[in-house]
Amino acid sequence: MTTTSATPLLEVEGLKTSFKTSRGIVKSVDDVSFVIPAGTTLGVVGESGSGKSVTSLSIMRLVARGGGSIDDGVIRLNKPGQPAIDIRNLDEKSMRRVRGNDIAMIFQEPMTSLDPVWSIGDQIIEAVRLHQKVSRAEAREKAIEMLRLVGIPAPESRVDDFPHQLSGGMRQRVMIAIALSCRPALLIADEPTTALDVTIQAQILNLIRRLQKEIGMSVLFITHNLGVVAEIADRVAVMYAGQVVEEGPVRAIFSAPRHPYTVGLLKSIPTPGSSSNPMASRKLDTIGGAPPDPVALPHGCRFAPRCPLAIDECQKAPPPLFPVGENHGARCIRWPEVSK
Amino acid sequence: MINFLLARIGSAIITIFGASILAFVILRAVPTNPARLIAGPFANDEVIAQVTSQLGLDKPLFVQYFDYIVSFFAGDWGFSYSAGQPVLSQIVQRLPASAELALYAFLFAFIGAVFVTVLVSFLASKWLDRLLRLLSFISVGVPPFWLALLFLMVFFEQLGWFPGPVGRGPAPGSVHTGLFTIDYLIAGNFSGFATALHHLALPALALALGPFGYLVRLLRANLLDIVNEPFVTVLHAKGVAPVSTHFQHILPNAFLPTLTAGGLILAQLLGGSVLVERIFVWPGIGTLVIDGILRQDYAVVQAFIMLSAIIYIGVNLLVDILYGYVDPRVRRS
Amino acid sequence: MSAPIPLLDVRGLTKRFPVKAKPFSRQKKFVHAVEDVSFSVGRGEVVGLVGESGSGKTTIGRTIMRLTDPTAGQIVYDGTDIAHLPRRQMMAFRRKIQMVFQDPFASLNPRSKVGELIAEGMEIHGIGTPAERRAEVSRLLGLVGLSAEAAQRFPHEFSGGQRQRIGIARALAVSPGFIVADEPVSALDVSVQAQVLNLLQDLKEQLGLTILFIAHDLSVVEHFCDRVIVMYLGRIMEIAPRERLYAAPKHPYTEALLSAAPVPDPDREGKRIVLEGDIPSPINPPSGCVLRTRCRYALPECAQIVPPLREIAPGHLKACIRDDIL
Repeated sequence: MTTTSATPLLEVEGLKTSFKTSRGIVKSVDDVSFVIPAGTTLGVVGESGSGKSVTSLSIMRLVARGGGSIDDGVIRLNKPGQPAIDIRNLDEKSMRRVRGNDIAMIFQEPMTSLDPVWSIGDQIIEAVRLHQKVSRAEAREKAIEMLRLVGIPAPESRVDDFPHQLSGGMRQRVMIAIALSCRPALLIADEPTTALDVTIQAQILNLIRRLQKEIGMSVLFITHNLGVVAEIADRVAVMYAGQVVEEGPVRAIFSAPRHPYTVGLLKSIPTPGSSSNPMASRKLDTIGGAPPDPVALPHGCRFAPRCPLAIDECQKAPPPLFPVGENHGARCIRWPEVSK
Repeated sequence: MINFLLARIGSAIITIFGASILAFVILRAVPTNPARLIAGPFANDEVIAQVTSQLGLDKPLFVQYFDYIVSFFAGDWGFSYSAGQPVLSQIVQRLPASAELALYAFLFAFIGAVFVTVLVSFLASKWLDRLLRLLSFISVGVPPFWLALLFLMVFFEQLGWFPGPVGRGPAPGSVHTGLFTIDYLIAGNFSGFATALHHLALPALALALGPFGYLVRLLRANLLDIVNEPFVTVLHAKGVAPVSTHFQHILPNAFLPTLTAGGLILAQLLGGSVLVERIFVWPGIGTLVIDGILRQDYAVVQAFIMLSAIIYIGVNLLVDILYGYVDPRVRRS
Repeated sequence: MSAPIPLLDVRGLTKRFPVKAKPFSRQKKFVHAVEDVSFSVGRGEVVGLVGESGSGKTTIGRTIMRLTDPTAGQIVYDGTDIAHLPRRQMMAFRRKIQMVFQDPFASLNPRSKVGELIAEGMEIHGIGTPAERRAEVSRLLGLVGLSAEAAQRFPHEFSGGQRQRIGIARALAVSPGFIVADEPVSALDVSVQAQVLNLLQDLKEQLGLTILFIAHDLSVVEHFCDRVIVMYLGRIMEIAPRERLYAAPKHPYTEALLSAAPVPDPDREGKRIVLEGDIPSPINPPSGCVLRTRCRYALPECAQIVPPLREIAPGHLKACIRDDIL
């Protein structure tokens, strides 16, 4: 966290979320802590099943729908000049006022994230009128203004369009318009560009960056794409098997990672420009094995079974998050020996 | 929309054309000579030949078909020799009774299914859901005539709550639509309306239960699909209350695909129900047709095939137009 | 660049899908999925086919497999034009050309054991005795890095990466000469993706495979392929050896595509070229050059003629009328 700002906008401490499944209890998020200072972007990276989406749904308190429960931890939203909101202990009605108003969310599937039988204008108007006392006509004006803001051409006529009349990129813009219509303090973006083509992805990333500056909001950006995270994040949290294994400033994570999993991830992606490097190997470095079974997690370090640096001690106890640099932590007892 | 309607009407004409050929051919393929039936068992060959030529049965088949079509659209649907009157006037007399029964059965099934299914899905109770599934399973399996007999035994014989098998009850003084309940309402006679409804209740319910179970199944499956759509998560993330999510978003989405099934059910019900009408002595189309078949009165059966086709096409056209109004995905394309 | 006689030579390939026409409208409409596409793949070569959705890359793969029939053009495989071969004669070529799918089990019977799935192709083409086939299944499983006992298990018991290994073993079972790999790693997590890419690299070196590698991830293609074909809206924009294409793209679309791809380097310099607007509908593609509606170099002439694919350096072709750029 930056030392200049007083309190970060979002504080998550010791978050634990689990799901009951037929095979047993899955601890999808297990002791996750991070902060997001006002106006900054935290990128959360991890592979499928790492718990990154469950973390975001926990912050929105939307895990119960999927059969999950938040078992422990603190989720605190500190809006400037207002008392802190303790999200975990909020009653459901107050929570609904936080959702869409203080914290908004956009999702991966732009094609199915909108109600197909409502016009896009009505879906923005719904969000506006839920959280602001305005007339329908005013809300409609606001909807048109939002559509213009997210770069939809001819918003006055498109406001009455239905989702099926728009392309995937356009629908994701509409989703962003809905999410930002109430000027949230925090935007959670869960893989918002994964389903989009590269050139459209570039447009959406630019849009999120531009609007973040204009509105001054913080962003929690979840992705599996290390390239996207390098581009959009100020800080990065790397998740593995339900835990944050490393967290730090984006440059430190990419140039001096201190967790073997982060190193493995960075090395396993083909580097752009490899073709002009005659020394580049046609073989990629890989992380051996597979992520642990979520109902039978290793007792010690969860990455130890796949880790090239693992020693007996790693299996004995779960490692804490060691401070490894300025605002940089890694969950590895051998962190001084880890290098890229 | 105009294009869409033209296309639908075009295909409707083709379907009616097909049905007319079917009606024409099936009855020409029946071994019994209609002329002999009409002339009676003791008629001699001369008389039969005379009747045959009167009916035009000695002309080539395609000429017969052409005559048939021309007179059909001229309002001459043939002559029922067993009733001694034109088929069309018989159908005009009988249709309102079947239509009224069908409409009430349809309303009971549709409204009941939507109400029960949506309530159960909103309450999200596993126990109630299981009960609903069992109910729909049973109601699809029970034959309506059996149910009709059961209703009569329980609600008429044992409890005496409803009238017995006496048909539609007293007719209203003035006829506007031929539907007793509506005509009583137009006349402002509410006790007459109640009596008519009282007579309708048991046969309509007996007919409604099967379609009810079918619609419950369909709607329940749709709701389960829609509830898991990503857009529902988005609505929660927007802060929309569960009641609004359920009734303003999930329900319309789940309801739309059931319109097609609803149309089919209505068309089927409008064609009359032979057994239930028989049991309740209901003066409808079903009774007319079964008598026509038993007496080999082919003009009646032929007219019924055509009528069923027209009803089926009419209702489907109505459903398509309805989709055009309520479903934006159809409206705009 | 490639061997003197290419193993696969595609000439003027066109595929149009009819669109359900409006009633009473005389105008018939088509999805122009692939328009006049020509390229070749040499023996032992790995050629990448990149493009965004609607570029026609998957349709090309499916057409080569004859999973769909081409509207026009030739697909010459090893001297025979298979584009319009009748079904019976196609059987022999089905064995020579195999496909690896993004999700290899989406279209397969989940109740079949892995061993049966792998042996299926051998059975269809009457290769070996049952005992020989069993031995071959074990060998193939070993080749793709799985244990032989995997043959007795069901597909759902395997992770995504393992399933893709099984899919590769299945494709290799009939000893094909040519493999069409359609997005084989795009559904996989990065660490697993690396494992599967390495496996493909090993197999290519060991078995001398010829591969048409269809993908949307530019850095995966750069890493794995010898030559790259860039497609946009059913047409080829640029073909070049990978070193040339990535270092010095000559087509505006390639330039924009490379510039748009996110790079895992927070300190990356350089301004990003963002292609404005959406990809046009393939039902009604722009006249002339299909890119012109989004191209920052577009001239009025670009709307007039379809730019031919022409060689601008040995092995380097582009479909753009402007030589004064890039």
